Amino acid sequence: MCYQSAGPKGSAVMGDAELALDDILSAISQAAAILSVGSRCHLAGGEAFIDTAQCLKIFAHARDMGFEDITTTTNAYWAQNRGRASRVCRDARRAGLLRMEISWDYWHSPYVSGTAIGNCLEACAEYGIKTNLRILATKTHSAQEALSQVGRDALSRCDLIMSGPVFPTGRADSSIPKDEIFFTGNLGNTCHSVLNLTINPTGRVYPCCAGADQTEALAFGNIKSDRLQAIVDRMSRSLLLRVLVFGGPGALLAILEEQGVDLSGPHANICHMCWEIFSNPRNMAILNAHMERLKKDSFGSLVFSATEYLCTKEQIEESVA
Amino acid sequence: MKNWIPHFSHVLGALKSTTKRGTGRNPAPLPKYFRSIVVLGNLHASIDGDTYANQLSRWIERFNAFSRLQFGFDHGQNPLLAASRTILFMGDDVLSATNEQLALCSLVRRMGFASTVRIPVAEALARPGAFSELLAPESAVSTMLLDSRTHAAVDSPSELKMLVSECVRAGKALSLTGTISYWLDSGLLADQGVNGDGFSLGVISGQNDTRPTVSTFDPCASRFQVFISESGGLFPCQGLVGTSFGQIGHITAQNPNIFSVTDWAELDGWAKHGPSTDGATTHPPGVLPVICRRHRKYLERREAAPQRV
Repeated sequence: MCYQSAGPKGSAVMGDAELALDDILSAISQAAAILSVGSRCHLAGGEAFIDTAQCLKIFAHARDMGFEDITTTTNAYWAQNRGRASRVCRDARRAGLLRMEISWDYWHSPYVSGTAIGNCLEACAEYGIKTNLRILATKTHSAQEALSQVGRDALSRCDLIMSGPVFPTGRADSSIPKDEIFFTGNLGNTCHSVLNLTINPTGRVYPCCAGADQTEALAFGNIKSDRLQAIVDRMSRSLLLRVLVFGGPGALLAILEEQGVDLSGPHANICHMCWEIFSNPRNMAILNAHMERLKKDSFGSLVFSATEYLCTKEQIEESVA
Repeated sequence: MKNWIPHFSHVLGALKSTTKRGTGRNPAPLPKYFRSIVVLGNLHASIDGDTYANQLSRWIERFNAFSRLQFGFDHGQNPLLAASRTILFMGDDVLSATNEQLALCSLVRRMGFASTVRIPVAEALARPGAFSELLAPESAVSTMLLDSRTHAAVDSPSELKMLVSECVRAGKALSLTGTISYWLDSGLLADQGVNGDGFSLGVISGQNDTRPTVSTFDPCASRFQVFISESGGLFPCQGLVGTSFGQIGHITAQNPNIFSVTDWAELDGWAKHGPSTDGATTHPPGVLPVICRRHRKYLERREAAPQRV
């Protein structure tokens, strides 16, 4: 469940959309029955802990439906008071929460203090919730700068810290100067390890929550009108998605460039490139047409892994024979 | 390949009968928890007359074939389960076996695995040439994991910075582990190259993990991976490595069912609900989670107890 670009008036990208609790619980129930969804149920933001009671209901429902890895993202604003931090973590752990991602960095710090982050890390450790502190950086504002605002004792209770470059989608696109942003990412990476079946507040379902969910083109259905199983089946059959999973968006560049699409501009990483590709409906039309031709060529259905996809048709036929 | 199918059908049938997720309807075969691998052995070591590296290569091929059949990948089923498969090489003395390490990473990449190679900082600083070999342009290593756990303080900051810069230039994902003080004091978390590519840092507190277990809901699913010990034994989690009661197979076993465990129901219960500790409230010291140490202690007691008939 994801709500990127969230603000007081909804999402800057999707408008003021909201999923009812019943829709969320129903989606979790349906997802529990789908083998390829995996073991993890993650509640992301905006800031879900504005309504902690609903979060607890969602965690408990995921636990009762048999999810074995129940996780969430928060900016930990609620942990400014150490006592409240303990109470929230205690209740969340009892409801089934096992891991918490804390999304916080230089740009959060005027609103959520380093003290709150430290309280959150300590309270999570107190109640056995594993933590992942997620930071973004630009040329001027490094991970070290953000971490130095949190006490070392508290940081030593954290399990994992992950830092990545800011990439210019959503609000970062309009509020951070381009020359501040790192454009050094490896554009040959694949989406292999960053996939999550993602439901955004409009009910649309996506294969990841790193920017693709802010496009219309990569939506595979909507839980308000389709069963989740049908949407996942659509993903499983999608040759385009397999190329993304195992080849990454970089594998699509040649197809688009052949049709005159210019994607030579700087990209911070593959998520930024993916967002740029799929924000343009014309690109999607080109890619869909190309994938249909591949399917008619019959060997597309044999695609399994990145390397095999990148092999020639002859190599694939030989390996299958 | 076709000769394996009746055997797999039998195994799958048994698994499906024991593994239902909550009130969901679809069966979830237990091996879905074992999509990633952690290799603890030295690639130069010898097992049954061949090197650990060669035995491991053959086992990974069998494991990959097993997974493809299990999940129906070759028939276009469950392709999303083919994602997020990783192999972490944690063995000692990797820098003495760089050719073997590179060959293994190349092999697993062809199968769709991402590979991470752990190198202790002290070894990388002592052998920068061998370290560079892992970063060559044709190297299939996905992530370099620099481990500073044996260091109390940063003793060669400029050399360390050169190592990390080399990883970044080579386009390898960067992963770090050690105490928070070590990595903050290194100054690398302010480095432009490191921030531009991003990094992950596994924080080691340097103390015993004393986190309490406040809930009976503590599934092993996220702790489950295939751990391959130095002697080639297969184990479902780090907490059971090296135990006779926790071994679920061996890399030299030729059976296409790569797991030889008989009691899948118990493993399935651990995956979904967490292990039984039978009320144990004490545990030996260590860095593993408290629940793992209590579980191991409980299983050791159970194993030592006289069998009832």
